Amino acid sequence: MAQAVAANEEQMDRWAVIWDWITTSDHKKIGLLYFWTSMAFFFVGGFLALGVRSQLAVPNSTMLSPEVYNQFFTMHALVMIFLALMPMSAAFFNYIIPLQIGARDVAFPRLNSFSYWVYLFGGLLLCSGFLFGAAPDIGWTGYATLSSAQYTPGQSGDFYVMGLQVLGISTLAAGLNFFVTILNMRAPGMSLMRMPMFVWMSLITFVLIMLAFPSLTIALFALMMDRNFDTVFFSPTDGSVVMWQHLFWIFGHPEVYILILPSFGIISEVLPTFSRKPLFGYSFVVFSGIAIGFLGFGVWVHHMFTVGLGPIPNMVFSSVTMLIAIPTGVKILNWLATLWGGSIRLTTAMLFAVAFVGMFTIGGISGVMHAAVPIDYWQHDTYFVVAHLHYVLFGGTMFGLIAGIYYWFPKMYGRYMSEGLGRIHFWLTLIGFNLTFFPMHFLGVDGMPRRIYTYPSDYGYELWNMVATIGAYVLGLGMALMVFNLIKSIRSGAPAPADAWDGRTIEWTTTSPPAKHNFDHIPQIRARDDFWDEKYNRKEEKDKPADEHIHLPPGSYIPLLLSFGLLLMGAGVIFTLWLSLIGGIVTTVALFAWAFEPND
Amino acid sequence: MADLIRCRRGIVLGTLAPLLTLVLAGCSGITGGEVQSANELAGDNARSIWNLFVPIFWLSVVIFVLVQGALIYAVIKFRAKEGDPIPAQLHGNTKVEVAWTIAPAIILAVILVPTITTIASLAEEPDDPYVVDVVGHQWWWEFEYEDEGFKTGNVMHIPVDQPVEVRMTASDVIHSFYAPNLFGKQDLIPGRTTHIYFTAEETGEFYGQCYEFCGVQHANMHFRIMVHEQDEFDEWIASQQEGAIEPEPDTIEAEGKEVFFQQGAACHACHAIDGAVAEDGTEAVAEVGPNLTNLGDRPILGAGSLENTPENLRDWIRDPHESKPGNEMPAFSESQISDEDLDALVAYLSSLR
Amino acid sequence: MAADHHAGHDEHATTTGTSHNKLMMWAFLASDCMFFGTLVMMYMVYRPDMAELGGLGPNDLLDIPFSSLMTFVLLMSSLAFVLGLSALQRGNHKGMRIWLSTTAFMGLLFLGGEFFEYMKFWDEGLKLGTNIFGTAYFVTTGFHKIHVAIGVIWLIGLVAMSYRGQLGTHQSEKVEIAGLYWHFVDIVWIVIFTFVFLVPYR
Ligand code: HEA
Ligand code: HEA
Ligand code: HEC
Ligand code: CUA
Ligand SMILES: [Cu+2]
Repeated sequence: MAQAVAANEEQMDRWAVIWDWITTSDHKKIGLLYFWTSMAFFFVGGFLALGVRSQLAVPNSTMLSPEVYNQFFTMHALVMIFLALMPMSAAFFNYIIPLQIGARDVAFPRLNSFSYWVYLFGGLLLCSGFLFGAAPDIGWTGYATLSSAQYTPGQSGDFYVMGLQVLGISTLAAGLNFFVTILNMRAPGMSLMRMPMFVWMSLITFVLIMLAFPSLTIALFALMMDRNFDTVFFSPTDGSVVMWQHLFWIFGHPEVYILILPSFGIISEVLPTFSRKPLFGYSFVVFSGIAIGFLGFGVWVHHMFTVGLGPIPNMVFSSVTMLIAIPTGVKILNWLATLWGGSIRLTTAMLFAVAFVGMFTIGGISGVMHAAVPIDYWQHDTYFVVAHLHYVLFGGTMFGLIAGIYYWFPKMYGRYMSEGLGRIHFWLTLIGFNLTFFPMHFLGVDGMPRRIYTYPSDYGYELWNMVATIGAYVLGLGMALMVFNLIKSIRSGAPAPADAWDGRTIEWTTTSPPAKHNFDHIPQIRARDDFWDEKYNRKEEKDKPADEHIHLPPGSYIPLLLSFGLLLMGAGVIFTLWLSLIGGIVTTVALFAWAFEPND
Repeated sequence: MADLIRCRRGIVLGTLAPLLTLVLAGCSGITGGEVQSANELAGDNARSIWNLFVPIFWLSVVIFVLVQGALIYAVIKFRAKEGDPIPAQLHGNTKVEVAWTIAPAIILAVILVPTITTIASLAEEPDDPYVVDVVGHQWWWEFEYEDEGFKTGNVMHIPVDQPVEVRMTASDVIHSFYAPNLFGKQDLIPGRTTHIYFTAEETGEFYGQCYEFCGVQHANMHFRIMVHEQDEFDEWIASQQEGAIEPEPDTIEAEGKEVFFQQGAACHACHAIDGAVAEDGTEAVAEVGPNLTNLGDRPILGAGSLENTPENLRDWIRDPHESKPGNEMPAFSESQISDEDLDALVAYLSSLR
Repeated sequence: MAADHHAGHDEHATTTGTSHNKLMMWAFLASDCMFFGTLVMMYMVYRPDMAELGGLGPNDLLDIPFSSLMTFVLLMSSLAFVLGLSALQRGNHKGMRIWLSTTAFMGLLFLGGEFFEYMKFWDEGLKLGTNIFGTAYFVTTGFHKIHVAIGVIWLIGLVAMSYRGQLGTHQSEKVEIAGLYWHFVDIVWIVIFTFVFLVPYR
């Protein structure tokens, strides 16, 4: 894409193009940066997953040493959650939300570019642990006291703390930015109850980010203080070991809804479009989303049922956890009803959306099993949980995101992705996915613990582990095919018109790809699914609005500078505090520059 | 059109495959029966968990079948055909919505009631339980029989049909104690005490291991539970209280006992053997590693990293990191323990019961 | 908040009618609320362990009359801020500068007083890692102090802008937003003061 621009404007040399991408504050370019970066990290995470699966394929395997295995599964989860799936959602927030609400950009374009650079740097910081042989190896949950300086000496724990802390800043900045964008920059006429469902689910996601991430920030800060400055937050004698788990899961459970809600949103766009019907029960879907977000803050103890907090807390949190199945069930059934009586076109995007409904239901149901506390006394920390979490995270979040990729690719690149390859990709993924993760339920029944680098040969774990490993490679092949499809389609896909799918929402009114200013005229919204309404229902001519003064903010390198300062500050805690000092200076300078840069 | 048919069949297969396996799993045709399976029941605690699981499982199957069935049916039935008119733009139906808000609520209420009663019954302390104290260490288990006044490692012995209370804590990081056939798991947390109450209903040897990630050797933190008839158990207790078997003088075992205390080995710096005293009067009372008083009686070595045979014991002492990389016991090279001494040591340790 | 000045001339254009910057501040404060909420909750959980800490617990160290005085100073600074804002809205630039400087000064006074307390505790032997009180006290109040310090810098910046003629009457929203922050930090202190200082430790 960058090349195309360069070809058009010969005076713009290579460096100018790169400089343009580095300093851009255009939400679409930032969206694409997010997209490709998260895709790259997805493959890093997938590579680590293949390492994990290869090690576990046979009993008593010595392919990976236990130290390396522990780094692999920990980094696999951190990379997938914080560097692949959340940022891939962010790619769609960036690219699609302004288009769906009829805005020219986000509320704070420079803050947006800042979020991206902090994400990139934070991700590199986290992964650079591998270069020093000190990648985090304490599980993505980093439980005290294992994460303390005593039991995880050296830098690996610091990479965990500082990597996540820096990434948290990025997420929080993006969350606040988009929260304001959605509330404040909707096109005239777009009331809250006319917003596309993707925008709604994203809005709830941002509220969850705003309210859940502070708890992680504090947990990580306290851990950093314990590790480096002798405090006793999580000490068994002076403080409390369990405190970490509370802090982590008060963040951690809303986090899983932060991961799934954007996909709920994407599905709620894809299913109606390809059924040629509006989303069934729009307001129920909205309010169930709000209910999920709200309840999500009251269930964290379901990750701690075996801690021994006592029967009463376990009963209470079991009940609240099960309550979440109600609003989620409402959503599932509304999606079914959306399909019902429709005119269904099974494009690749639609296949993934339909599979999402099926696979997520499996994951949700096994979640409800965990929520029944005594059953969790059995399933906790067995492969049953690993099965659950992948059914919701891959079968849910990832399937939704893939649907989003096929759905919005024509908008982003002005070309269709190949449907033929897409179909193969879909079947490989669906089959590979179930082959990988369904047998893990059986392993759970047979009592196989998670996070073990090897298992003995007489426990009956061989068969299903082998099947899962084969499945993982099939799945990997599927995902590699998707990337091939992406690249091939960028080069030579069939050209897509503005309205690539007979869409319903206003991002389909503008050209594919959209011009820098998105819309020539900010649309006037008169209905939910406004574009559909305009195409099929409205009789009167659309009145041409008067010419508008289009103003777009210039690019800026300061966000990059600021995030670099933060990177140095984070790295300083890991290596030497001098680096933090330099980082602090860079950050301060950048903040002043930010405040005084003319950007109008 | 061919494409369309192929697609349909694919959907049916792709979604039916997991469904079928799920149902099969329910019939235990595919899973279970292995040494550490949660559905091979030998304790009341595990049984009440399984009894709660089975109805929830079948309910789940019903929900699963209904949802997937409706999904597949809809996708096949409502496929777009050439020249279809635009379908009716149906925006929703409040009655339907309310109905399917209430339906899951009812199902959940049905699940919740037995869940809550089971939580309560599992937390209930039985009258006069037999108490065993467990301490989790990186990466082995310490079992203390406080009233009887001895400790042992990695293998726990209990009487059958007698309520047992496992009272647990950890010395370093969090561990989790779980033997799937007998009871549900609880964590061992430094600075806190947790409990499991259960009654073993069958005699025999049961498998368990640590389920909370606890560092490098979390994978090799197995344990065994030996369930005995009451009289057999009493015998075992008595024999443990007597302390270690004293080897006959001038046997290879007696030689091995001296090796245990000698300079190069100094096993007693970390391990206790109750009642064993060296010629120079040194006693073996250290508690850095597992108590070895009845080592010969244990089926496993190094918390399950090896089967307990003399050859394996030999290898273990030469290099514990061969089978359990990263564990806390140092290796002993030939300069520290000569081959002959090692034979003697192994003979001695194997003789302890 | 270092936020883009984007809405400046077309404030009316936002959907909610509230400017981007102001909405951003509200959103940020909601997030910050959870931040301090978590800190205070954590403190509350540790509280029962603090009653007996061998001469270095809250019962031995906390000086409630002195902290009450500091609390009073901080509360009064909010009043000074309100007076400054209304002065600006009435076009009284001089008044605004005086009142905002007073606010900043009182903030500094508060910081100084608190710092004095830190030094006193430190001398008595209460370090970060001495016991759970040292850990939780320094970190909880420390985060509040950082917030106050940022507020003071912000206030000084506003006064400086006003001297350079960059803070016209029509731009009073800039001061308003700083005020949201300042009042929030104040309220947080009331909560911290109540739970860290006032409620007895048993
Ligand atoms: C996208 C992420 C995501 C989502 C959406 C969910 C959704 C849910 N999760 Fe999951 N969960 C994780 C990600 C997620 N989870 C992860 C990553 C872990 C492991 C963390 C770790 O330890 O590493 C975990 C662990 C986890 C545990 C702890 C297990 C343990 O460690 O012992 C529990 C326990 O209650 C749980 C429960 C639930 C429930 C009840 C839901 C519900 O929201 C699901 C609701 C959905 C449905 C129920 C299906 C649709 C409903 C119907 C069709 C209606 C009819 C249904 C009924 C009436 C049942 N999850
Ligand atoms: C967030 C989302 C997410 C995603 C998408 C995945 C994706 C996958 N996960 Fe992950 N996983 C987690 C989140 C996720 N996981 C979490 C949170 C944990 C818990 C960690 C913990 O306990 O702390 C976990 C743990 C976890 C475990 C348990 C480890 C243990 O407990 O010891 C396993 C084991 O099989 C596993 C496997 C996989 C596999 C095979 C995939 C696959 O889906 C990956 C598929 C993708 C690829 C394979 C792409 C790679 C492709 C190439 C490199 C191209 C070349 C390849 C070929 C041509 C074949 N995961
Ligand atoms: C530095 C302390 C230390 C020394 C010295 C030491 N050990 Fe160990 N030993 C341990 C620890 C710790 C374990 C537990 C290892 C594990 O399973 O993770 C252990 C485990 C064992 C076991 C397995 C016990 C079981 O229950 O499975 C045997 C046998 C053993 N040691 C024998 C010896 C002998 C013989 C010597 C002397 C030659 C010796 N040890 C010296 C610390 C030590
Ligand atoms: Cu001990 Cu895992
Ligand atoms: Cu959860």
